[in-house]
Amino acid sequence: MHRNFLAFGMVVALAVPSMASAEDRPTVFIHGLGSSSHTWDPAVSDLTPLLAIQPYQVDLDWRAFYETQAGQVQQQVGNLPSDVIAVGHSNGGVIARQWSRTRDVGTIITLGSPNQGAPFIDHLFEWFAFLDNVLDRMARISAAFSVTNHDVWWWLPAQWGDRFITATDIWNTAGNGLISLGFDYTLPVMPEMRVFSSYMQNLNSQASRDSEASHVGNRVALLNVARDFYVGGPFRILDSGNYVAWDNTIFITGVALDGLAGIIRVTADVQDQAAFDLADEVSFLAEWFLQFDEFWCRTVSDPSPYPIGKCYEHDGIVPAWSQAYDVPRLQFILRADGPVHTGETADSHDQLYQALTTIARVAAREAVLPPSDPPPGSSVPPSSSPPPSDPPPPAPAPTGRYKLVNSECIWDPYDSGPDQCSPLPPPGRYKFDGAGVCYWEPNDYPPDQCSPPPPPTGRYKLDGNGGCYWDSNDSGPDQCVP
Amino acid sequence: MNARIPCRNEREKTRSKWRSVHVGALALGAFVLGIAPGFDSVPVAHAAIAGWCAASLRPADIWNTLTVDMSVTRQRVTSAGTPLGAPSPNATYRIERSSRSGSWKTVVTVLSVDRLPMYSFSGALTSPKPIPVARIEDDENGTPVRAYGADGALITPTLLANTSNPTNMARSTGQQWLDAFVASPTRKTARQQAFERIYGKATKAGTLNKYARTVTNGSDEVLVDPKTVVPVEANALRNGKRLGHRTFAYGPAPDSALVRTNVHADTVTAADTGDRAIVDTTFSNVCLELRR
Repeated sequence: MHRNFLAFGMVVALAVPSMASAEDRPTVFIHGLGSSSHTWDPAVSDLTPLLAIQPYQVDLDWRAFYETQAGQVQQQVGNLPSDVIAVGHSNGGVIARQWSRTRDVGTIITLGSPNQGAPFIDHLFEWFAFLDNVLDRMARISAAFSVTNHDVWWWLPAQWGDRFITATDIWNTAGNGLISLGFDYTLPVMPEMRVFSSYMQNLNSQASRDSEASHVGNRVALLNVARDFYVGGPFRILDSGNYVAWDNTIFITGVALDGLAGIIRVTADVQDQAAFDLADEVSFLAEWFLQFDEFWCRTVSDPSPYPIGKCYEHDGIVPAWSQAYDVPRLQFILRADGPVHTGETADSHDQLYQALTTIARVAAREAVLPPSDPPPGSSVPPSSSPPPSDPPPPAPAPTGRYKLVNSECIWDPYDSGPDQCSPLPPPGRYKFDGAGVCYWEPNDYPPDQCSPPPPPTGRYKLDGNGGCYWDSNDSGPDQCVP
Repeated sequence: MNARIPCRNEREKTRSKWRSVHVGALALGAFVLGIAPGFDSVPVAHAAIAGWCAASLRPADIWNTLTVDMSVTRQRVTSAGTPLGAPSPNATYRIERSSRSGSWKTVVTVLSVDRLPMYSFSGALTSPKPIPVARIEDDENGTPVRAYGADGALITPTLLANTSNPTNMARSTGQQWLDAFVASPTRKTARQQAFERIYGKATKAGTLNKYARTVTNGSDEVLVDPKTVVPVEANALRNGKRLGHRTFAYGPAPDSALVRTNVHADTVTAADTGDRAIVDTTFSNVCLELRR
């Protein structure tokens, strides 16, 4: 309750920016998981002098259910008119959609939002199990070394000692870093964020999407793919200024361990089977490093089980396909080389400007008021626009866009704005039918919900007479050795 | 039985004496073989041996560099053989072990490490750039390994831990360590004695010799080809279950020797679930050279 009073005070303070006028469109900026209203300060500072918007930055209990947070939005800015614009980052976009289910909203702009759920939450326990598995692999190396001939292999611990420290650093930083971002499954909103949660299924059901499309005047999803999104695993978002160094460290460690395993296998005497055991364990630790990026990408971008999952473009946490929804009916603006998820509110002003002007049809301010001191508590800075005497900038030349014309996606070079469709046909995906059978649906978008059974890999089997034969139509562990 | 085992200092002295002899022999050998200044290796015709580079020397020759290509494939599966986790990238390296001044150094060159394909928002297939590491050098003296990128530049900065403690103790000296990789027929008896020292006398298992020993909660066994005395299979049994299974494959080497070409290991990583880790290591393109 105390928190709500504070938030209300901030909303009131922000509702009276110095340059507000009667024509300004009320625009509610909604933050996401592990964040606060201040995440929008830079965007509000940049956009308010340029666009006829009256910003409201709400503070929500980001741990709560989506429905609860949407109720908090209504509690704080429920008196705004029906043409209100809701701009939500991350979970804030989902909250904006939830809010629109209870009242009229003129425009919804989602930015990097898990509109179809966050695969990371589906994989949360598996990811941490993978992370923790490095400790098991290191322990197995130590155990294997304990039974080797130390007169021969005395030098090995010095070789992997630093690798162990590096592995522990990665395990510790990646684990604690993700928890610090707010990823704690005990929080109420977490289960709702799962791709296959009943909340997401309901929010994105055909009926709900039809209702949203008919009630909300304008909708646009701002999609962001982080530059080098596949580099550095979680460090791409946890330490975005240093992710290349993390990635180098991870691969150097993996290759160095593979090389070490190779040297052991080359130089181990034929009778020294303990050394070969040790080489296998070193190789398994190398595998962990070489898989690290791929595991992370599958974790955050595909809710499918790991073996059949894929790596899709993402912003560090949310895949691009989930940032979109109701495609092709809903428009989207795709940015392919953007910041990571946590930097989106501060570094998406161009996309927000485009969405506000072309989708929400917010007017640009023709004359900007001279700079003035913002009221106490307000995050709106003085204007940085040119003085009113300067001529307005020329209208930008059309940039072209893909448009839907008679159900076909065509390129219109004389138009501007977000694409209405994609020139690529739907790539199709594997889906479950009603009976739980996996089938190929050509007119749908990834990710796969399932995978057809793999072809048999063959195995050696016992024939009942003590003989050992190769059965190419079977899979599984060998029953015997030929 | 009564032979006295020399202490470490004595062994070092003996080793040092033999090292001097080796260096002299190396110089003499080089002279006899007529190595001209500026030539990196002495060509010897071994092109007919599959798996060996055409210009390779013989193991018994004087050489100072071994290069071998190593491919590693890994997989994690359940007890029923169903894949577990994300696929492991296949990796191929060139391992080079060379000695210019008596101590050995290792260079691992990345020939390829698969990066799995990625998919765009619309499902289009894209390929990520290769891994950042192209080569790793290890001076084998306790100093940190050095990593280089594809452009040949030292990779820095990294967050690699560094608790290095440089040492002058060489991991291996001379060329004898190659005997472990290339099994010479002349060392058959020595290999048999080495097996017997660990496992005792062999018993027959079909056409193979079986060496076995009891360990805590189980046993280890190695099946050895009696003709060549190289292992073809090794098993580790614990509490009645086979937890480790390894097979070896060999190819021909000069002078009727055998070179290790494949090690296939299948290890149970969780005794309760039976989950297994499989790793296949294949060696090829073996080359022995005398480099300046």
